[in-house]
Amino acid sequence: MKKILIPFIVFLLFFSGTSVYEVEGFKPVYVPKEEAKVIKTLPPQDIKTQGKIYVKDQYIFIGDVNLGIHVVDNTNPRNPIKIAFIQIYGNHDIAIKDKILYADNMEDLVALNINSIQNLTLVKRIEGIYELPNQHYPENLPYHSYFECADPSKGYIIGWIPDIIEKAECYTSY
Amino acid sequence: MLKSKTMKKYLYIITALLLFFAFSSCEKSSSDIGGANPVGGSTGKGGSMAKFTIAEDHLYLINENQLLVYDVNNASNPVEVNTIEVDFGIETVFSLTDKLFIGSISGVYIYDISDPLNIIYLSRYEHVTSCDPVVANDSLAFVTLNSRSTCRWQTGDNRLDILDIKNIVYPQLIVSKELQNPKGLGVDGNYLFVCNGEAGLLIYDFTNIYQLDQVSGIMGIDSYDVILHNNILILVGKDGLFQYNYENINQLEPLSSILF
Repeated sequence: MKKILIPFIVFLLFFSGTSVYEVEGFKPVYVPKEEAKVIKTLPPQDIKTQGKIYVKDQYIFIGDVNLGIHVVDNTNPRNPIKIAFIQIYGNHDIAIKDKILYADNMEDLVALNINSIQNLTLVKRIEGIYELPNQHYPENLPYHSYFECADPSKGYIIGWIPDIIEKAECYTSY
Repeated sequence: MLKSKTMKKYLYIITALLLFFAFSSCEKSSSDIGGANPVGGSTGKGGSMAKFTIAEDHLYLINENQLLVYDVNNASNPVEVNTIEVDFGIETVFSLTDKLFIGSISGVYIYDISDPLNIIYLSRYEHVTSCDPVVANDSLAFVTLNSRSTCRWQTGDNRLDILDIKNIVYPQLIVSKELQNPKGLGVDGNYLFVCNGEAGLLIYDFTNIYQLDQVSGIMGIDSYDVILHNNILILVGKDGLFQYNYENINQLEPLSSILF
C-alpha cells in the first residue's frame, strides 16, 4: 500500500504546485513591424483561419483572417486549383471592381491591381482609415479573463486567440 | 441588456437589415434585388460581415465611427468624396439598391445613397444580436440566428427566420424555424440553401413560405457558408471548399473539393 501511496502523494504535490499558473486564456497574434505593410504574392499555402469567401470571374478568394487571401482558379469547377496566397496582414475583408482588389491592411485601405495575380501591383494606399486592435489587452472579455501579457517588441498585435497560458500574470480587471 | 420579447423581435429584424444580401456571400449572384454585384460583372460577391461594400461606382467603407465614401469610377484611384459621422462601435455595412445599412453595437442605421454626395439618413433600429448572414429576393429576407455566434450579444437561439421586407424600413417577421447550427444562406429561385454547421447543408423549397419543404441536402460536411453561381454550389466549411452541381436539385452532383 505504502509503495503506491507515497509516489502518488509526491505526484500530487508536484503537479498541483506547477499547474497553478496554467490557465485557459488568450494569446496575442503578432505581425513583425517590418512585414506589416508588405503585400506580396506567395505560393499556395495551407488555410489557417478560414474567413470570408469572394467570387469574381473564374477566381474564388478565401480570406485567412488577419493573414491574407488564398486565390483559387476555378476555371474548371471539377478541378479547382489553389494558385497563390496574397499576404495582407490585418486583413478582414475584400471587394473587387474590374481588376482592382480593395483590402484592409492593418490601419490602411489598399487598392491592388490583380490583372496578374502572380505579379500584382499596389496602385494606391490610403493610410490611417482604421484603428489597430487594442495593443495592450483583448477587449470584450469577461472580468478576470487571463491573457498572455503583450510584448510590443514582438511587433503589432493583430488579434487574440484562445490558448493555454503558462504563468498567467495578466488578466482583465475592468 | 435586452429583456423583453419585443426587443428580441427587433433583434431579428435588425439582423435582417444588417445582413441583407449585398454582401452575404450566400446569395445568388445576379438575380436578387439590388444585385449590383454580379459575379461576372465588374464587381464580385463577398461574405457576410463587411467593412466595405461597392454600390454602383462608389466604395462605402466603415471604420470605428464613420462612413467614408470613395468614388471608384476610376477603380485604381479611389477618391474620397464624402464622410459621415455615424456612431461609435460600427461593425458592418451593406447596400441594397439605393439603401445603405450600417450596423453598430447599438443598432442599425439606414441611409439613402441614391446621391453619394448627399447621403440622407432615414432611420435607426436599436440593438443587434446576431452576425449571421441573410439573403433576400425582392420581398423576403432570410436570417439565421446562431447561439454560438461570436457576436457581442446573443439570443441563445438557433433559428431560421423569414421576414417580409416589402417595406424595407419596416420588415415583418412571418416564419421562424428551429435549426441545429444555422450559418450562411443562399437563395436561387424558390430554393433556399442553409448551412447548418456540423449537420450539413439543408435545401428547402419555399414556394409556400409557411410550409418549408426540405427537398435536398448535403450530410457530413461541416458547413459555414455557400455561394450559388451558374448552377454550382460553392460550399465552404471548417474542412475545405466543396463544389456541387445542383441542376438536379434532388440529386446533387459532387464536382470537387479542396481540403484545408
